[in-house]
Amino acid sequence: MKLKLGKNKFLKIAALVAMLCLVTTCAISTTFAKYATEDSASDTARVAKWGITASASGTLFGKAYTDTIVAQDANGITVKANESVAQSENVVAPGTQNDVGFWVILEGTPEVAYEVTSAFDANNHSIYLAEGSYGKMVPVSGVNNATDISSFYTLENGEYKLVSGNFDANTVYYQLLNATDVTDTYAPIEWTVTIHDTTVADHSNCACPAHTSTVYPNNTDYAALLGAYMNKEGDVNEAVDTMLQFTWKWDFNGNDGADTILGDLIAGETNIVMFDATNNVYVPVTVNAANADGEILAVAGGAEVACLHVHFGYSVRVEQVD
Amino acid sequence: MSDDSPNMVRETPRQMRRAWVWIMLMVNIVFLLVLATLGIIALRVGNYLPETDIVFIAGKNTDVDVGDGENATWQSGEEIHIFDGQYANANGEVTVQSQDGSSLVAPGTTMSYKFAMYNNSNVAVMYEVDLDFLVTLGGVIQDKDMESRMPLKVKLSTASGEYLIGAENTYVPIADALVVRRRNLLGAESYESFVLDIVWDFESGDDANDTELGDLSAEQDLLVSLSIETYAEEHFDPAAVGGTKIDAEKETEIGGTVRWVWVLLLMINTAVMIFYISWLMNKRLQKW
Repeated sequence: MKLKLGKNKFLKIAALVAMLCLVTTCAISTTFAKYATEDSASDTARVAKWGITASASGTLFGKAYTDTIVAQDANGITVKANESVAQSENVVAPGTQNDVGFWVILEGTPEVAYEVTSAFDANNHSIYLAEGSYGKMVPVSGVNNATDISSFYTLENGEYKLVSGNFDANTVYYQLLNATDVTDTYAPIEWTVTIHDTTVADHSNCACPAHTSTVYPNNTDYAALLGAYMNKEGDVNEAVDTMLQFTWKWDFNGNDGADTILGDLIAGETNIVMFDATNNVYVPVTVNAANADGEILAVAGGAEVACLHVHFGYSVRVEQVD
Repeated sequence: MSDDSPNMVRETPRQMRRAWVWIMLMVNIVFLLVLATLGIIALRVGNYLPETDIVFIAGKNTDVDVGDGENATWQSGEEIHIFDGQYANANGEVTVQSQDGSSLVAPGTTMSYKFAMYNNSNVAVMYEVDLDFLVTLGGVIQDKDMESRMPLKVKLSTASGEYLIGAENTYVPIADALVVRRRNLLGAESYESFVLDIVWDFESGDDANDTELGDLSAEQDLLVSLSIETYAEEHFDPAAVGGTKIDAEKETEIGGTVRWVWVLLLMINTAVMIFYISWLMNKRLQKW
């Protein structure tokens, strides 16, 4: 029997399948291993230094002062708290001063550009007496027909008028004492800002530049007092070292008459008057209670004529600039 | 019967033909085995011998580099230049400057760092760019609370304008950016450029925090370290396209692909072998 392989397709099919398997196996043979790689790089930076410190020390006002000249006149001026005033209040008076004062110190060397800005309290105010003629109306006793009353005054409708008629036993006559003419607004407290050289160790007798001015309620005057130190710009790595010293004094040998009037008003005297040139009369000067800003104002004829209170507030800010 | 009989003359050429058939069959078998072996080796070990080109199977050449203009190729953990020791404002005035030459960050400073990933491979890869952020104070690594106090914000984009972190006008706080993980595709012999933008807003909205950080640094160095980490993995489709071709005119032979010549030779050789086997088997059976 001849086995005709040409008609037996089994082997051919088997061989074909084997071939396909071989090809497919190689074609789809692959690996589950995958290429992977990683890289990294870094950089480090330091936060720029700031490190500016601001400190304040000292006081400006007190309840009593040492080494102060105490002047006395008929009404007396003292430098201690008025008994009618709360003991917690600080007082100022002619002859008082504060040489040590109030210090503001800025230190540091930042790595960024900066700006120093100063600001005074919006309600800063100081003692002053407006231009005008003042005095004290004191009742005169022992007036009779024989007394020359031509220089006396009578109180009519709240105003003091010069006597124009004859003596009247039922009338109270007043005499003007301590007459004072203030020719220009009088601000007795003299402020001094000393800009200290931080490299100087002893600041008690240093020749550091000082700026002095008498100021009253206008904060722009305070700005002039500090001058360039109101706003100061600093470059990167420029030390911000700044020392400001604020002192004040009320010169006892200023305007004695005005000091007396202010002293009487501060002491609570109620018979202080101011001349009204329009009506040729003297009008009483009345002291109001402290307002919202803490000012104790004296008014005469409806107009503000004096401030009997001093407030000093100062702030400084240092910030980075872009 | 002599040796020169006609029967003897007809038997010799037939025997010679059979011998040659057997020889050719063996040659075909060997050639078939070689082709198969080459294919198996190429596909199985290609990753481990990436530069091996196994004749008819294109070997996988895997090589991914990352670098910037200064450092052509990052070495792992290399220091790069992201931050500066001096910054100027819009008017050109120096407003931040280091006292000791070290790099700084401060309110109002902005930084922009450009780098690129080069896939020199002949296979496509999937890549990922991650950020890592570290804060130290006086040499002591700080916790997440301190990291969250750092007002640095970042955004990361590709040259084509795609944002991996943030958006065109949107920065992401760096503490939030660390958890963003986004994968992109980079084709064979292609590159992708990146821009990392970092900013510390001058008006961060928390001046007290900015000041406190500056004061801390004045007392004991407050350092921030930013790391860029890249990861690339072979894509399942080595022919996938992404990024920009390094050489636009060059045709890349994708790694791991089987050259058609190999398949053709394999099939022809197999067919010939089957023919030989069939012919021999037929002859053998005829004798039986």
